[in-house]
Amino acid sequence: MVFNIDESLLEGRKSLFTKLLILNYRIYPFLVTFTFSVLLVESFTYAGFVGKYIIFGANFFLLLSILSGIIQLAYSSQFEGRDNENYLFQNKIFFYFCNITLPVFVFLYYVVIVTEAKNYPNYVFSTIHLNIENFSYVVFFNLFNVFLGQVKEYKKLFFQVDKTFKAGKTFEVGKTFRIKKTINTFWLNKVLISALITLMFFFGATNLLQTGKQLIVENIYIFLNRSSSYDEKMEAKWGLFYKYMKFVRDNTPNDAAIAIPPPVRPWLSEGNSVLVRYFLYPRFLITVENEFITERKPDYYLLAKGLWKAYDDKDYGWPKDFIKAEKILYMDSETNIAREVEKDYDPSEPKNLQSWGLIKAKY
Amino acid sequence: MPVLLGIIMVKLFFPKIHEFEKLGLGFLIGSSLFTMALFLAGVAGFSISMKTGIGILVTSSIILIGYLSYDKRARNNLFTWNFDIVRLGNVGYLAIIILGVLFASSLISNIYWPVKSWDALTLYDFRGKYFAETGRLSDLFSIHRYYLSYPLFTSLAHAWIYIIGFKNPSFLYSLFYIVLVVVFCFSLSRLTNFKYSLIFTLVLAFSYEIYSHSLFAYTNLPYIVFLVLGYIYLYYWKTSSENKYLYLSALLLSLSGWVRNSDPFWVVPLIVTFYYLVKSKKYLLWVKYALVVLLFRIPWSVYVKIISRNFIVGSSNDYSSVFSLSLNEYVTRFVLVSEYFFTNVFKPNWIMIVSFLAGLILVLTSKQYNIKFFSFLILISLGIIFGGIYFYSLIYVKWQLVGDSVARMSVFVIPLVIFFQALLLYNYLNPRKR
Repeated sequence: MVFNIDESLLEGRKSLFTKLLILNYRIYPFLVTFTFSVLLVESFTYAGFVGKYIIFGANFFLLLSILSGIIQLAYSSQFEGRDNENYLFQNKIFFYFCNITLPVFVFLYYVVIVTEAKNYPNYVFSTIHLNIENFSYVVFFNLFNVFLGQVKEYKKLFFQVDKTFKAGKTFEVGKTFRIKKTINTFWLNKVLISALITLMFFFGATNLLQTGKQLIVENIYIFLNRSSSYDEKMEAKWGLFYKYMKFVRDNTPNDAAIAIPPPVRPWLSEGNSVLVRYFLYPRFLITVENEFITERKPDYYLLAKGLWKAYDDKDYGWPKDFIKAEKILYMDSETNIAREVEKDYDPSEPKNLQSWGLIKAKY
Repeated sequence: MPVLLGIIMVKLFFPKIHEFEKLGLGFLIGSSLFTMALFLAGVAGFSISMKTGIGILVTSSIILIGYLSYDKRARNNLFTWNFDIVRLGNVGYLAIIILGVLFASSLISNIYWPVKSWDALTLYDFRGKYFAETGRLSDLFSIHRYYLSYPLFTSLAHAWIYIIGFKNPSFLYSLFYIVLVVVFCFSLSRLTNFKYSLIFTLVLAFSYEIYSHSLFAYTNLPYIVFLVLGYIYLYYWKTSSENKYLYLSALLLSLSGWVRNSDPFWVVPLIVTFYYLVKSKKYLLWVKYALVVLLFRIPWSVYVKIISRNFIVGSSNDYSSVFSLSLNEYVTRFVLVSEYFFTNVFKPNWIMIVSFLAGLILVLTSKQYNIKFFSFLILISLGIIFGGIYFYSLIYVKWQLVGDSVARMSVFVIPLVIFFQALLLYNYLNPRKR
């Protein structure tokens, strides 16, 4: 199998493969313009919108365009310069267009990211109906075409590779399988190198957009919240769980023994002894793992509704047993202030299964 | 101070490499050996405290000074400076500015946010705070077996940072990110040229997985740094035939076990070097290599075995289920693991894996033996990921719930494949320089 292109490419008889390559080169600007259009449509609608009306979705055309681009990268240097002038002109105009629109799209992309970061998630979509993630494909695809255009400019790159492989490397599929065929790897290597360069670019471009977005969003958040305290920062990340841990820490002495729920839904956080210990150490935690081993009795019980979604609403609320208590401290989830009630803990009271707080045991 | 001692050690043995590369390696070697010494001191009964740390540093300095007074060549190496700077042009300087922005962004984020990620709170930072406050090592492990899950490198590093007065150790992970990028750049530039290596360094620095790992206090990024650089210096040994790079590779791989010891990728260089060294009948060299690789893995493993005898809570692994399945079950499990591998390893890294496979075909059809060596390191590593998941699936019933951990474990493939592609493309685009 030898993947060769005829030397006098546009004269005389051409193989089917050569005709397909020429067709690929000529329809590329049209294919890519169509891909741009569907990507833009989906930026203002939703992913899969185009696929609803045409059999193939935007991702299909994107993939097809990228594959077409890879083939262009590998083979176009062979016949570019000898093709019909109109097709050459079309390709040139198309790549100039991509070069002009790229900075515009990149600028717009980062403007919408910054705008979203300064407001709230989905702000841009709710105001101007632009889906940022889908729009990132437009930017990426534009980047890809600029890259393709730039690489095609440097034809020396490929002539140099051509000289390297002029001798032709052959890979004999012979000795092991007794098949006497040689594969000329010259063209295979050329396609593989083109694919490698394209994949590296693809990786670099997608990560550039993703990391750039994270960098901007993160730094804007830090700038807008630069004077937050430790508690405010932890609450921003852990929400009600951190608030609750702080409540328990502020309302129990350091040498207290505290009983915590089992590590099952809905108490996967409150019942996780190693997580809770980070916030409550040096308090001693009584868990399902040590409750029958330790000699210590609980000074306090966590009164925990449960942060994680329960399988059944009846599962919320812990403890599940009656406890003789000196007092119950109910946490106000808005202010974190404790409201003290002197009574025993009764799990059958509906309020107790929906609350957060502490039960001080009485012996 | 531990880092300074590490830099001096690197300068003594590798005088010709760039100063920034020495800085990076010095940080890695200095911090890991220092924490190892703290650990051994803790096991011996000394408290984890400023006094013990200073004692270790003073002792190390005395040993170094003694060595320097004995070895004249080492003294010359200490005062050899390599700050070779290439004229980069505007694009090159722009690339350096972009890298600076990335480094600064990572540092700012880590200085702002306290330690906040789940595993960091439950394990790494909690241990660090415990050691810093109490000075005791073993007491913690009697509370819960979970605290013995991973070696103590990051926790002791956190502890030392708390002891010397800092309130937030997260900046450490930005330093690991910077070290990975800088050492990658300079080690690649020695095999290609600096401008070319800057392009691939930017690709690595912008990698979302690598950058985002610098923003939380997990052991994944430090582990990746030690492992990847261990592989890279092994490749450098193959191309240069200077045995000191082999020992540097072994040291880095050994120290990767001090960061995370459950990941089996340290085996890969042993397998590949075994093949090449035994083929060239250098048996003793391979034995020395293997001994150095195992050296810093042993203390923690032995310690865990001793401590584990006294456990109150937590369960140990049950390996009996590995051999108790029928053939049909093994095959069905293979299919399940393949699907799991595709979802959690291939899909998140498909570009890297596909480009690696394309590069592998190129390498196999060429006579680039050194790059073939590097490609085998990556190929066997991918095989070990699959094999490791399969083995894990036979031990743990809920093996499919740790998809995130598996995805994080495979991130080290990214810098390796970027390095591989850089070498491959350089050789194809500069055939005269092969």
